Amino acid sequence: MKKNIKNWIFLVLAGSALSLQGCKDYFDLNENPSLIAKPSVNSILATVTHKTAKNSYNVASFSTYYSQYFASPSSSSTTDTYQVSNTSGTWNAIYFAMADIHDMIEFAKESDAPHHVGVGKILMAFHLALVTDTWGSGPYKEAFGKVNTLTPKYDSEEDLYKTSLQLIDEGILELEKPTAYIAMSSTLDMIHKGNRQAWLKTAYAIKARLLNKISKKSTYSATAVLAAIDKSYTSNADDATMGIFSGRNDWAGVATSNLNNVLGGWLSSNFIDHLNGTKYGLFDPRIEKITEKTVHGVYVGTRNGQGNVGAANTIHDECYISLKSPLTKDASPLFLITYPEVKFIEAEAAFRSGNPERAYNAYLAGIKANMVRLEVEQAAQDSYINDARVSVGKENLTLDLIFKEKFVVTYLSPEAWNDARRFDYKYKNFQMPVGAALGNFIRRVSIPQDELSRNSANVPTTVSLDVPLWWDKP
Amino acid sequence: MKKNLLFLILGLFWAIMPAIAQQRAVSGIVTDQNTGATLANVSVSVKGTSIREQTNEQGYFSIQIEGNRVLIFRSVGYVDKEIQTGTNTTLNVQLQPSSQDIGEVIVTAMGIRKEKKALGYSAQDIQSKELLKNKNTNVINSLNGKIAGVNITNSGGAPGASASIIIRGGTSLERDNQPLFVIDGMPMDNSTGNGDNSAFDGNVNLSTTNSNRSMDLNPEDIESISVLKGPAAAALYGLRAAAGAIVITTKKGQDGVTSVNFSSRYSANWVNKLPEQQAIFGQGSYYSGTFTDQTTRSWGDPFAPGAKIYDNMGDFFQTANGFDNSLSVSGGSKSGNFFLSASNVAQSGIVPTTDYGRSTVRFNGEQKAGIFTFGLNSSFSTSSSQKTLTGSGLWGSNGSGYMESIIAWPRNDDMSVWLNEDGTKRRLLPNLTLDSDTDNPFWIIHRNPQKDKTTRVLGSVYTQVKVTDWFDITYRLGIDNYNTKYNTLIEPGSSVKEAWQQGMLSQTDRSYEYFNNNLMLNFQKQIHEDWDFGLLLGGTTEDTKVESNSLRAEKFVIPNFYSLNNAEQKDKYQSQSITQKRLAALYGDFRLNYKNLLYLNVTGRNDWASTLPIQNRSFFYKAFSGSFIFTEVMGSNDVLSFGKLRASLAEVGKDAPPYQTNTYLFGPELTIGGGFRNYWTRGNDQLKPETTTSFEIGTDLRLFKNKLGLDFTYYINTSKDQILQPRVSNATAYILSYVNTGVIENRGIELTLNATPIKRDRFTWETNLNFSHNKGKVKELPGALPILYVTDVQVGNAKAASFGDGNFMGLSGTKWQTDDDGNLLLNWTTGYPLTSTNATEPVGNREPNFIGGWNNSLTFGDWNLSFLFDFRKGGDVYNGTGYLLTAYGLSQVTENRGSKLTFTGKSLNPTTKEYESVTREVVADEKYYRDIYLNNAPFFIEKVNWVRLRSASLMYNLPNHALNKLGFVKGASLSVAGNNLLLFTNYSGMDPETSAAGAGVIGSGSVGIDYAGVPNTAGFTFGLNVRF
Repeated sequence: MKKNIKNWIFLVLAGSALSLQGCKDYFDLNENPSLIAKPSVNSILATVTHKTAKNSYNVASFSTYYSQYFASPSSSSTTDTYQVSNTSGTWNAIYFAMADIHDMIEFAKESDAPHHVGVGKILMAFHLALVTDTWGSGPYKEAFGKVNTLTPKYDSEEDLYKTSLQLIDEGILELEKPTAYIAMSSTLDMIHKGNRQAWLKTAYAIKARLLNKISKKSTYSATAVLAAIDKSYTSNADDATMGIFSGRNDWAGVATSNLNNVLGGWLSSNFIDHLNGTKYGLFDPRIEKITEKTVHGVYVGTRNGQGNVGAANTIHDECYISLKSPLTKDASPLFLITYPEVKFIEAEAAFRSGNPERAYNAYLAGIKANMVRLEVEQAAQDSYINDARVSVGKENLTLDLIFKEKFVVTYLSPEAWNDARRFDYKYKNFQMPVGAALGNFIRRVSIPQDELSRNSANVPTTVSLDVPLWWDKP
Repeated sequence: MKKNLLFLILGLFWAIMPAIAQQRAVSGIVTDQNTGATLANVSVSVKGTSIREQTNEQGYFSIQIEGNRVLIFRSVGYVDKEIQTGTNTTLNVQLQPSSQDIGEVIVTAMGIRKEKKALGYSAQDIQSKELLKNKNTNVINSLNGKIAGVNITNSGGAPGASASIIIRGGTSLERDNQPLFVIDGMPMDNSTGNGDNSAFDGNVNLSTTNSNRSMDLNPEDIESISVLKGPAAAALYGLRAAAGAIVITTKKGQDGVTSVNFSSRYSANWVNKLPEQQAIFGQGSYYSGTFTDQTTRSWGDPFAPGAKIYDNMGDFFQTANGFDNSLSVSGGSKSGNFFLSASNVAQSGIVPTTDYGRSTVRFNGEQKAGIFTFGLNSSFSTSSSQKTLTGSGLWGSNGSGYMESIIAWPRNDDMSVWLNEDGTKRRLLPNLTLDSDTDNPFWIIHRNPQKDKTTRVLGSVYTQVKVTDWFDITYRLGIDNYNTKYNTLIEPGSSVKEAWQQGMLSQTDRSYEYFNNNLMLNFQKQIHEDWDFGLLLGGTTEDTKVESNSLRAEKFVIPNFYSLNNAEQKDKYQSQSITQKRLAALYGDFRLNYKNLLYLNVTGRNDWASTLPIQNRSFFYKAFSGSFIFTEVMGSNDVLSFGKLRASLAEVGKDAPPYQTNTYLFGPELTIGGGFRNYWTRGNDQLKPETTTSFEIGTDLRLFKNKLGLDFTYYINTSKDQILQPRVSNATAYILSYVNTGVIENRGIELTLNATPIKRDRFTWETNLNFSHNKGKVKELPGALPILYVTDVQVGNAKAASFGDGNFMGLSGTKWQTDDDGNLLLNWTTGYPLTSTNATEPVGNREPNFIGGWNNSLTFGDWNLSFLFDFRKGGDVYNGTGYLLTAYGLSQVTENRGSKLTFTGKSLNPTTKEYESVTREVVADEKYYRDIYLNNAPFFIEKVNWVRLRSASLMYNLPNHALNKLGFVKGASLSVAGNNLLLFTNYSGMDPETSAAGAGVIGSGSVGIDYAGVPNTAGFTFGLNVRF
């Protein structure tokens, strides 16, 4: 009996030893069966094209208050009154999108997909511009795990600007490669449906926008801007738009919420007065395609910082973003950059380079294209454009006029606030908000709360929000 | 009354009727020699055999013997007594109290029974009788207040709600801090809920109440629960021991006696405390400057005199009923024993429509054959519950929880009318779109139910080989398998996000499969007259697989047909998650005892874990503990009868969740056009386990001939290499990133006093007072991160958070702006304080200064009165419910609306651009409360003290003479018990023992967060217990 037991013990011990031998297999459970580590580049292309448009909207959703297209129904709005506000959501969405773009570029490099690399670089440049135009500096060189750190250092404003230009140039080179082992999917590219030529035009449009941004700098080159324009858009059909939503267009979402008493999208009196003849004595028919009249049959805006005046907000006695506008319907696309904007960049650069003819033609073409986009009736288009206060003649064209007209074209675009700062807010009768926390117009947004709490060591020293950004000063 | 009393009939009896040859029964009563009191639980054994019996509550025993044998009577606190039976069949025995009642034995790690005096660490146990005094459906709740150093928080009064148990503070910032549960030598799962499905159907820990899975146990099956408080006690569990261990031993049959035990309980429970509401102002809002009644908020005009004001909150709750029946049969012979039980619990909740039900069956059996013992411990259980949405309802649903809706309901409206006469939904604000309106709470409980159902098989088989009298081997194979189905229904017409307005049904099937192998070689030998030694060597493997499959259907085609089939293909969604992990370990435990004077214990364990990268997969943990009985050297005297010093040093760990060594992408995701995106979390291929090092010293003193016992412990636990996924700069490409960094330190003391102030013939008073204090500090956080949030608990204007170089159980929130000198900053134009969006300010600490319990048992003849007070001093509770009341204008704080307030502080003069000291008078209007007041979290943080009569029970045991008349009845008792009957607290909301998101929350948890949950209850239980 005893011997049997000893044998038995031996067997158990030997068995345990053997099973430990098999440990390597036994523990080989490191791959998550429910998630994928490397999906196809086209599946990320869907993500990044979608997110880029969303992020353009995200930035515009507050910067349009600074450029006074919108005004808050509440007098205590931190945005309207130039207080420090927490823009963590937008910052995070932008960095999350850039991380996806970074992944796509890296995966595309590995799998011979130069066009994906190219699109990735262009979208990265687009995002970096959003970052630096909004907050000034931000992480890039140490971002997205390029350096193994939880607290990536910030690139300076100037570096971010230079990087985005460089990325555009690199992206163009990639897109110019005629063949790719993996082609861009026409269904998963939500901006240009896999059309390489369309992407090239967009790349040059964004390049022109970037080059034109440093108009206050001595390094500004109108020639370079115009050279980029030459290779970019030639009609509204070229626009970089994204129109695929799981719900509806985000601006339409604002409009719908407003109708449901979650207030937002109230047009600023600055913008309404810009259009309805108050400022310029000339009624701009585009107002009818942007908003709707109040219950009193007029166009009335809300003063920034003043909040709702008059009756309770459920009475529609001021103008709101409209579900009827071609720009803000449920199914309207989001715009990244448009032909009319490019025309106004051209007008400005040509004007600065002393070519008033090209400037004037671009100016008129920009207005016209925008009116077409807004579906303004032909007669109304003509009567506005042909009015002497618009068709001033090339010799009477001024920067003020270009900026005045571009202001309408860049409605809902984050670029509008960049223009406002470049133009030092010198739009006619552009007022400081009521109860502003600053003595001057706002020039930047403070680094968001999430960065302060998670990356405080690298966040640049806080400065007043009326301190201009790098490109916003000579 | 929903359900009738269920009488249980056991369909199958496993009767072991061994042939008994020439045996006879010897029976009698055991009493205390000094007091004459009958003694329960006295061990009666036949010398030289393994035959063993115990006396019952009345001191009665009966034992089978052959011929003339020697019986040994042993009991804690008494001198052993040996008696020759002769030919007697009746033996009445008196035991002499010993001066050293330290012969107590406790079940320690791996099920090893050790003498308490040998332990070099603090461990406490609770026996069946004490557990059942205030029997709770959730066995964890029956421990509350009884054990020093153990902080138990019942998450609320919902039937089937989880309870959180934290031993000596949390050791992990972002891992589960619930202790390891071990049942009959095998780890069992005690996880809580379905809180990680937010992206799929909105289920988060806050959105409803869930059960913690140790609730699947029938408390009547439990013989004892040992609480292994520190790493030293639990060291044999290595990688799983950092949070301590709860070691449960279930009942066994006794040889010779076949007994049947039946118990039945009825309970009635009601809300014990509700927040107050104002009854001055009605529905409406002046927020925009002009009046509107298109709001649920109560910021309107004062009620007209005589206007009907409804007590919507008070009228909502009902009295909850519960029935709890259990039946067990046990018995055995010298070669085998069995325990068979069945139970059923059916409870309704204080929130109408909610309920909880549980049925269990258990079979424990053991058979000896020569040197082998074969055994089985098994249980099968089913439980189900219907629950309501709590907090803000489903995440991202735009809906609300039932309590949030009650708080949102204006008191000029009769909330109980929730349907129109024609049966359609009666809406408060029919002019608003559905998703802007608020659902009536009655609609929520009837039309948006949350249900779950769990079936579980839990058990182990074992073989023990007694090779020699000093060496035995035990092999145990255990399984723990369960499946839970979670159902979430949103009926069409609910005030939720657009996608769900035509209905939503989701179902999640979660299956848990766990296998455990454990082999132990146990050596125990006296190698010299003075030296006793013991060695345990063992190996164990664990395999855990969790699979979760979720299905969702939206937009029902036929509105009132609630099936996953009832939707178009495009409105059907599914999601799957599979995780598997394995753990293997070799362990050893060496014990040395010198003359019962010095004890030394050394433990080592090496773990291999599949969740860690290859190079970090293997880990060794060690622990040392010792005790010194100094009264053995200096001798005991009338004052000090027994004295022991103990100390230990130990190291244990906690591993990573599965699959965190790699980084993945997520998708395809519809909201981003069907693309793949970065997962929220960055993996780390350098992860290693968390390590907790513990140092503990203590003493155990018995004074005045054992009348008073004192146990004191001091400990420092340091937990380093925390596996964290801190929220990082999104520029890293992730929201969260796994790292191994951060240190938590818990320091604390525990004090237990035991006394028997009165011990007379007919009257005994036993009392136990315990007291503990723990301070959990975060010593280090990764990089520049000043704060870590608990993702699940971010409510109102505050969050559960841990602060670098600060409190582990902290609260963060927004505060009014102040300057560096602490002066309030005021808005120059309006005079109101300036609010801030900075939500990272430390605003509170949820850890109490101390907690404790005072447990008493008074026996007068056949009567026993027991009562347990528990108390807590300090520690903040976040009154998120008060936040909601204020936002909706129903808080009594807002009764002063319209009156003037004066603020003094500094304000920036816009002309001079200088700060000036100012005193400004402003109006406390709706805008002030909603925009300014609500943004100062400290208004909703309360430092809470309480004293509560947690339980009181009165029991009458039928006396022997009455039992004798009945003949076949061996014992019977009647009892009435109350729980939570008295609560004295300074807290303004509902019961401050609350945990908004339940026990399933990692890190510092949701303890001390009150946010629109189900309030706690008070109640009575009537019980009957009969033994045959």
